[in-house]
Amino acid sequence: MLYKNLGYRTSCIDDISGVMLLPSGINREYLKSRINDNKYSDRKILFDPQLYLTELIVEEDSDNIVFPRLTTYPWFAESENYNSDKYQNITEWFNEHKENYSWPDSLPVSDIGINQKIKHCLDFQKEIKVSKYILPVPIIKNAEDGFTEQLKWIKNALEHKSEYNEDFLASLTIDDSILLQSDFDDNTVLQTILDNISTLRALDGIYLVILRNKYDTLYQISPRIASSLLEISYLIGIRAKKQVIINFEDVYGLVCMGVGADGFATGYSTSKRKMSFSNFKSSFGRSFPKFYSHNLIGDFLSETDLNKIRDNNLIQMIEDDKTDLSEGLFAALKQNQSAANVPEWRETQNHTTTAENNRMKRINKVVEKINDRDDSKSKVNFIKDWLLSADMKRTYFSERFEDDPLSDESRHVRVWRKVFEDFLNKYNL
Amino acid sequence: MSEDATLYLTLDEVDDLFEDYSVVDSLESGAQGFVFKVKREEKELFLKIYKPDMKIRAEREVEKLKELDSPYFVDLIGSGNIQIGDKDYYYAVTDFISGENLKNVIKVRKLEDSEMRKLVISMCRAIDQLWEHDIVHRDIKPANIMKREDDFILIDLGIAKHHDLSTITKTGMAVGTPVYMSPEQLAARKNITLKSDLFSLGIVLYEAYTGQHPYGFNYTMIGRINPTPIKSARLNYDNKIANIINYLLKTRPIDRPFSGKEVIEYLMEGDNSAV
Repeated sequence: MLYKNLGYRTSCIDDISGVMLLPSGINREYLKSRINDNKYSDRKILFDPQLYLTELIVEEDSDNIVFPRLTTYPWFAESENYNSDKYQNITEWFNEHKENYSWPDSLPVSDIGINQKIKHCLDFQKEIKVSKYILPVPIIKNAEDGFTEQLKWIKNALEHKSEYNEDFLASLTIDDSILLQSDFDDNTVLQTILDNISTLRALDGIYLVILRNKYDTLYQISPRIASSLLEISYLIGIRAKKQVIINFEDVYGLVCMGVGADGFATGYSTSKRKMSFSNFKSSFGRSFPKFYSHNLIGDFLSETDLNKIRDNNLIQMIEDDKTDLSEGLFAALKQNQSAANVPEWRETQNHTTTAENNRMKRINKVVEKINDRDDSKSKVNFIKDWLLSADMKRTYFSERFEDDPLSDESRHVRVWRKVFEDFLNKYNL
Repeated sequence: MSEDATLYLTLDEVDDLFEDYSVVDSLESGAQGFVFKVKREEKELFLKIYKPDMKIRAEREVEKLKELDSPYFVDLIGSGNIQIGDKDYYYAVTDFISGENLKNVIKVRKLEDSEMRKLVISMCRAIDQLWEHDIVHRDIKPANIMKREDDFILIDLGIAKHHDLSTITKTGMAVGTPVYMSPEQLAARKNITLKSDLFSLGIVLYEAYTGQHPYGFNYTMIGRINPTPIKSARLNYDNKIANIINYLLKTRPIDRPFSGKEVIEYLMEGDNSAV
């Protein structure tokens, strides 16, 4: 299943049946008002408590909006309840909160403190009618601790399970340094996590987020991280028969769905596709409309790149990626025109709504195709064929655009394919 | 030398100390303490008096037995402190198990298929029941399994560990009996699970079925070599039992069964005679 990561913006095209709500993007009362307005009534709602942000970001490094938003949620800090008698509207309430909030420096360690945070978080998720509960769990970044602190939170939360009706997913937020330190089979931290998660009978699954300390492009993934994601998806999803939902790995989530993950969440902007400390720095990146090609596993600037592809007579290589939102774009390109002639695809700054919806729609189409496959072998083959085909097409593109490369980089495709094939060989799949 | 090594109690002295019990026999004295066979209202029982430095471990064992109500563990009758000379000793009274420990049994013979099935089922259920209470036994070995007629009982929860409690040993030290430990237990990994007990059970089963220790009683080989396949170590063997042993002895915990129940279900497929 595909979930769209949502923060402040509410838009989500009809095709996408799941939303992942992120507290860093919206304050508590706005979020509740959206739920009360039935904005997502026909969707599966998941809510990432983002407890990991307590340890990930420090106040002086962030823009000034994330902290006030997060501190409206009771597992981050105490805040005043919104009272319509006292405030004209939520904005006025939030403006006052911005003046008075205090950021928690650390997480509680006592059972009472942990229990209180967990209860607040579960009750909030119940109030917004989530389809599964995501348990707040601290970041996994200390190899020496052996998952002890996280287990304390998970087990504490599981003690409340009978009070809630939906499945419980433990939030596993792993610092990438843990994954990069050794190969999967030699990684004692990962082995400990999998051993414990797979034997917690009351736990229904995991919600997995890898925190990036550094990354170069949205698609590039270190082979160790890429293979760890596949291993976790397979060993928890297929072997231990628990649910696996992945966030902030963008369309690599599709690859994980081929070997056991149940779904993933993504979005359009950088902060909705990767989780990193740098997402919360004050600077804002520029955003341009890009056309997502599933065939080539990449995003192409609507004019700069697509015009080059058109001029090289290669539009047919990406025509399968067309959705009803990009029909006009393809019609223009075929008539030797460009995105500049299609208002919703014009390559201007922050003009990304159509590109965003088109991307989600295209990804969702593939997610539906994977879900249509009942047996795991057929899912594996679907992903294998996709990666092989993308690698071949990218190789051809590299030759054709050798002198005047496209803005998108393509090295990730071969890495993904190699990691996937090595994984299949390891488990004889 | 421990100062308690000089402690010697006659049967009459123990009789005087415990009014409710009549002491029948002195069974053994070892590193942990002294064991007597006693009687109360014609029922035979074990009385174990722990040495003072074993008090914490003994209390832990008793606490765990209190949580368990299962045919695969010894029943706890009572426990408490008693003064002997100028020292406080901890004692526990349990059901008397009129059987032989598995260590002595497999010294003289290999177990038959039907006995193996009983052993698998009893120990898998015992491991599952411990895990339901968040407990890992951590010292499953032939000497800690009693064979009573057709049943097998798991004893000595002295170093079993609640997942949420600190160990009674120094941090970073593996506790247990090395040649029966899982690779992760040998590595003194934190937060080991029932899968560690399942690995130890795999070693016990291999030894009971073939008469050989799968790693030649050399703990440094555990997790580093693949044991000789059952088919090469025993002339006539049951395929399912061989597969179960192989499954339990996987090096990575994630590759082992997720529960004892999973093992039992596999064993029982198409066969109800072993229940």
